[in-house]
Amino acid sequence: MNNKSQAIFFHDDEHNISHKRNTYELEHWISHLIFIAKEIDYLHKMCKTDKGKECYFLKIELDRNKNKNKQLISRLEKYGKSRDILNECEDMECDRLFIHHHEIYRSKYYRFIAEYRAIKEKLFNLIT
Amino acid sequence: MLLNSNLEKINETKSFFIKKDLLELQHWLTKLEENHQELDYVQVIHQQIIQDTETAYSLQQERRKNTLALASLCKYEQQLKKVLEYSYEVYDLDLAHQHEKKRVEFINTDKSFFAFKISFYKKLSKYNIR
Repeated sequence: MNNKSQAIFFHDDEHNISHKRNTYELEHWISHLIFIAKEIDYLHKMCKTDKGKECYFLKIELDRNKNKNKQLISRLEKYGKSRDILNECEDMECDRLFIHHHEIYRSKYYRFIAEYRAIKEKLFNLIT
Repeated sequence: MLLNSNLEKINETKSFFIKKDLLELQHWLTKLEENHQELDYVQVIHQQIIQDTETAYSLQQERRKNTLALASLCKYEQQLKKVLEYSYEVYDLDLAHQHEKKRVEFINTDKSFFAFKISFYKKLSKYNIR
């Protein structure tokens, strides 16, 4: 995180503040997803024991989530890079477009997290 | 007349920003509540499998951090709601900075939770689960 360029200043207008906040948020989403990639490997190992069909299906779901997670990380990273041209925005329309895109990525992130959480809960219920 | 319409515009922008902050704050609170529920699972797994003092201690520490962060964010939520209801000033830099401070608080708590879970999983992977 480039704290100097991303700090909120007195001369920032509402759009600038929104963009800076969205950048912070995006960075946290990506670091959370990177953590999930590591977590999935551990959960996979926990499911290795003989727990029958349920465990087998959970492992398949975990693999599917791992792929989805990887795709989401790369999408968010691409989106993060595309935000570099934010400073070149000259009108409100351009600013709003970026804010709108951010909301689309937000819903994608939340949807993935909810799905992943449901699988994790199933797994915890199985092993406890 | 002109002054009134300017004041209305200022209040509208301010309400919009505060509502946006409140929405984001709601997500943070939900995430911390989910972390809390996950800690319950971790505690059960710990009692059944690992059962060591060090993990029990870090589990307690993590739960404490999570509870404190939740309390602080709940307090902040009340403050924001009050500002939204009673104050008629612009959305100033102080409010924006306060929100960023709370963001840092949330992110630090969440990151500490990640680190705790990784060390827990590392320990757990040394055991054969049932």
